[in-house]
Amino acid sequence: MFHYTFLLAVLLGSVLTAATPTALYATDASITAKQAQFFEERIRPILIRHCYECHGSEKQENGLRVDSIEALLIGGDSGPAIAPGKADESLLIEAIEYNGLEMPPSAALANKIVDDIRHWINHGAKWPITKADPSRDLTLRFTDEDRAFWSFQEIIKPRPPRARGKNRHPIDRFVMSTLRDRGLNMAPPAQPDRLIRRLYLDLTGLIPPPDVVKQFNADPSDEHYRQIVEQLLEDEQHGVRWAKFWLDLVRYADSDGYSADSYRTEAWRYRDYVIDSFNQNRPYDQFIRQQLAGDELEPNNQHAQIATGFLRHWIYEFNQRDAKSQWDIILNDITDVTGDAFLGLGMSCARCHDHKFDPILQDDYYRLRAFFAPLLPLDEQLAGTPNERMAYQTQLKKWEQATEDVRKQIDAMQAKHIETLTTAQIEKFPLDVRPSLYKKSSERTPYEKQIAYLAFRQVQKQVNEVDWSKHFKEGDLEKWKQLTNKLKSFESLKPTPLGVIASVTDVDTTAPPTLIPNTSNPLQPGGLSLLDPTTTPIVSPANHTTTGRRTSLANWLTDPQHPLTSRVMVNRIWQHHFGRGIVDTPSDFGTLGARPTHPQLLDFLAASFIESNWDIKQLHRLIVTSATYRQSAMHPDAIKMRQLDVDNQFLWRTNIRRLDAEQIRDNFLHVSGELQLQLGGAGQDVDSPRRSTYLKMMRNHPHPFLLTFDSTDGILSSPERNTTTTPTQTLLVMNNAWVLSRATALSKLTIPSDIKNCAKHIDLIHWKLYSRCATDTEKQFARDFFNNAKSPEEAWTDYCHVLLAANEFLYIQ
Amino acid sequence: MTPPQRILDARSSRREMLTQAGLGFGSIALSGILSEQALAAETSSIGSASVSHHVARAKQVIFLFMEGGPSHLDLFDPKPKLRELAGQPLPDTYGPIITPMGEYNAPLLADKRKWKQHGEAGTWVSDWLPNIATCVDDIAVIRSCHGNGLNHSNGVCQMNTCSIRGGRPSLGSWVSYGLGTENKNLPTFVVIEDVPNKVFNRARNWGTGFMPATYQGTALSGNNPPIRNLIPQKSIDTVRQVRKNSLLAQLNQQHAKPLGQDQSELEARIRSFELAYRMQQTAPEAVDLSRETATTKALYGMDDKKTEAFGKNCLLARRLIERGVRFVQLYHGCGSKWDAHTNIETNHTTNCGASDKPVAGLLKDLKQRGLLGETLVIWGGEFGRTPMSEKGTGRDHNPYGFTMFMAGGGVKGGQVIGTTDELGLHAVDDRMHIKDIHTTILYLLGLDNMKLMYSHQGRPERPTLNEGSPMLKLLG
Repeated sequence: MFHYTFLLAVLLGSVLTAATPTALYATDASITAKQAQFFEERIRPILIRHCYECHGSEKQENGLRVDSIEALLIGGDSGPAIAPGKADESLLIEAIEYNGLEMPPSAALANKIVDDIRHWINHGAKWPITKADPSRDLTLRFTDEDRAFWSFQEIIKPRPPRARGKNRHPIDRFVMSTLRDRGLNMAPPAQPDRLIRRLYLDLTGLIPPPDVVKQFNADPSDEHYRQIVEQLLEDEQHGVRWAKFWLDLVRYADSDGYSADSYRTEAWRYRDYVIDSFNQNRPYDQFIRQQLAGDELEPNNQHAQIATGFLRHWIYEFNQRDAKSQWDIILNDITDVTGDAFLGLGMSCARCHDHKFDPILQDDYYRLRAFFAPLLPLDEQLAGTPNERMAYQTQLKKWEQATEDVRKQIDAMQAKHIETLTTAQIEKFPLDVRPSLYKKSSERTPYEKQIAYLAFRQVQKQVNEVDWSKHFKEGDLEKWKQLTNKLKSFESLKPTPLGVIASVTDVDTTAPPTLIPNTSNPLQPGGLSLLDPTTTPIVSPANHTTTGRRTSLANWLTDPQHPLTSRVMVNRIWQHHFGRGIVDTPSDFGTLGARPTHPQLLDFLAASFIESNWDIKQLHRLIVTSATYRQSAMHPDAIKMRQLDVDNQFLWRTNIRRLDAEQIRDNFLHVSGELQLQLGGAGQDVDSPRRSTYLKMMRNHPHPFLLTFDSTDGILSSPERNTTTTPTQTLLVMNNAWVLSRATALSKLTIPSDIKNCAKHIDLIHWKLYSRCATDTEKQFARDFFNNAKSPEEAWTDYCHVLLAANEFLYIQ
Repeated sequence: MTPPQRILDARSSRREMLTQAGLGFGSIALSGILSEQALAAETSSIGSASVSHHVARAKQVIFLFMEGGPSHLDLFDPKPKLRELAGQPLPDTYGPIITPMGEYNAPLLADKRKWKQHGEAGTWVSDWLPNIATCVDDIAVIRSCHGNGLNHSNGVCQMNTCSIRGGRPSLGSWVSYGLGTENKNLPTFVVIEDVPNKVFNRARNWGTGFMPATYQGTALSGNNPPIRNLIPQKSIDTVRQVRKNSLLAQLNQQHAKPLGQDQSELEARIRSFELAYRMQQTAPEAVDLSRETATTKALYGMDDKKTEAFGKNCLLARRLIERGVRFVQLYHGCGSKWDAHTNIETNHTTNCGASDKPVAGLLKDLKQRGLLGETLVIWGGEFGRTPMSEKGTGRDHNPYGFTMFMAGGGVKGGQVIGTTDELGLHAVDDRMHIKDIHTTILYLLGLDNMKLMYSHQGRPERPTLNEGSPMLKLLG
């Protein structure tokens, strides 16, 4: 289907001034249904078929485009294309009648068509604009409304509203004021044990130890609470928990995707970098800068190189011959994720046309993409500490010296076949790619180097897969075997591999051009035109080997004046504490996204965040110490509150939330005493007792347990999890062997010596799983359950299993 | 149990809607979600979906996915010119062609088939599909399909999601989302693989991308248990299970009580236990083929080693359709078995031999039971194959032009739609992109590809990426 795109992709100087009178037509209500039908049936299809190719959104030959009435009235280099009501005075008619100009150039239009167009112009050239169509009037690049849109406004720190009573917490002052305005009020504080359970699950993802809860029950003071908050923010499990939302956002995975879905041996370093960043409380601006341009900004900081793994998470197809398209897809993917994650704007709509609803131009998409145009993946830098690397290099040198001769001989034997194989592989790429693959690297253009990177990755794979023992015959085979055996005898000299860092660099100091498809004017890097229509000044990096484009992007994004970066991030942190952001569409702060429920609070948090030097832990601290966060899930006046605010948008109580996939899995292992809490390292297999953040994230083999509870697939940026309630989840929890093993382990940990006398144990297990003691009713349930049990062990295991499967275990309240 | 009008209460939150929809109250799921979306649409004025835009011709779908890419040139689209030019390179007039294996200038490969016109309509089918050939008067052959996936992963992904990259809901998910189920004790969207865990892209093919997992396909097999985790572990006998379930119910009720009447998600979860329990009772019966007669089994080729495996799956599909499952996807040749890069003779002889009779049996059985009218059956792979040879005896991938067929579900049989060029390389007339194919399938189900919308991060997402038109010629 054809996309009607109306906006001038390249703004012509004269347009802005000339465009004013056209507004009359754009909103012309006088068009009749019959006129509209005539236009849609007889005129629009003709324009699309015969004119758009050269005078549409992509090309405007002689400055003319004919895809809107405005554009026709402005006309091209020769002046307005039509004069409504006067076909004889319209240039368009002259042209299609081959009267001077000859359009379309291929062949004159049929007389009947020309008559239709005459008729249309003579009757006022009515161009229907559907009223319900919220598409913006795209002839003017931006409307005043666009410029006034809330999320593009400067952040001015609002003063918290006056508080009644003694509550001085700024968050509460904003929230209570909104509640008051709507006739709502806050729920009472949560019971101490509920609160601590909530806090633990939020800040570390794990259920609290019973002792901590009991102590807090005994002393539920504010001071005690703050102590626990501090302790949890310092707990390393905090980073393990909070890394996950970021990994979802940047579509992190440990595999390539597509069919082969090969395991990425080095991707996990980025995952550990994110965990470490949250644990070390890396300021958010630095976190952004390292991920986008760590190689340019901190070339000697290994963490910063690992951080650029952010630019390596795109899916990759190992056998895609159409290398140019694959590179295009990769750059688009990086652009999309950058827009989603940092800007909180869906840029991808603007890839093919100006965004229909948001003030994002197609130019803007490619301006953003231009920052990444010179990108080149790099898998060369050694991992490990400086000492490890030094030791490795020293040892490697020893091995290289010892084996130099034998390796030379092997290489000489293999060279010819490798060359043949390489040529054969190159010949399989499209005709327009091949010539550059035969060039010397130094003769390739920057773009050719990028395409060659992709092509030679495939060639290398073929070479690596050669089975030389089958390739060589007889005498050669003997000789080759001798040599390789000799090489193997030096194996003990060879250092243990350290691994390499999956990072990026730029292909050159100049970037390949960034072009909108089917156009020829390269675009320079730049931010959103609405915020700043000029191109972003590009800093020159100290290393002199890259372009500095990504540093410039990082500078633009982390400028404290940027209206989106801080708002988007504080909203994400808020979202994961409350189950919903102040803006309910955390990656869409545009027109189609939700509006903030507490705009002043959002700006207050964003401004405070910047003032605190982008301190994420400070933001957590601020949020969890508020009474808003600490209120109960139960409101004494719930029925009335619900009538006024059914969704609890204004926070008159705490939302009851299901634990997410990782929390459920981790806590199954946690309460059964099996969870291993160590940090870091390569991805873990499906049944690993480590925390779920460390499980291998394979795009085509999602973890069956996590998937059932709505984990993500790592292909597109995911700003929030769905929460479904499906029978599949139920079946998993009740029947799955892995779950039963956890129940069995829990049972062994807690089983009483005498099942008839188990009140103490029932209490204990309630404390362990639910952070509270058992009620009398629950004790009665248990007694009934055990009374007619066949075997005490079996019954206790079943009891443990049921307690694990129960709603109370699966929900935060 | 909550009365349905509560679920339809427009004031209920979006999360509640999705949660409750997840319970399989499918027939009301869409209207519920849509009324909620319509509310959202009023405020953001993006327009909204409506339940059905036109009369549905089909109610259910069976998608027979021949994975790896069957050759249209050897099955449904005979090309005399190919025999004439066999051994010569592709004429320059066909332009430069990218093929994944990159065997440039490979000579054209003639087909070795015997072709005959079949049925009253005289539809051409080769001797590789003698049984399907007897059904052609119920079949509309589409010779003009095309897509963008050069490789299997791209191709299979696009045939399922319209996108070559993934991350989007599959067609079956869109249909589940749009229409819900008619049997709340069985999954709405079921996938049956002939070789488990081999299909390209794996579970991603029936995933939901950004949509709730509620709409994802459930892998099912004729084995026990047919669905993962369906049956309790052996050590847990019925008595134990019942005891556990009732304790669980007690605990959950106890937990929900003080939280008030308005915690619909907790209620939903309590009900999901009841549903899971019913599924345990229902699903084994649904897949129990011992209840079928020998005649029926023979119709599907279950009496022959060669056709037994796929015959079973086709018969399973019919049983699921009878029980109201909305969308059944059957993979034949999981792991790209149809991918005849070399020796197409052996490859297609085997694959056609294993699938021809079961597919024909399914069509005939659906027809004799009066199910074909409302069941749309789709047959095809992720792409076709090139007229050029590969390694002398095979054919490379051809996403530029290939054949699929549809039967039942309001499709007029006995017709051939579209053409490819003289060598069968590019689709020419009545071209149907995969997006058009999906649009047509949705159309037959009464769903409009531009009105079926899911709001994701504020963006209106549609099943065919805002493109595609229905091929109305299929309706006759």
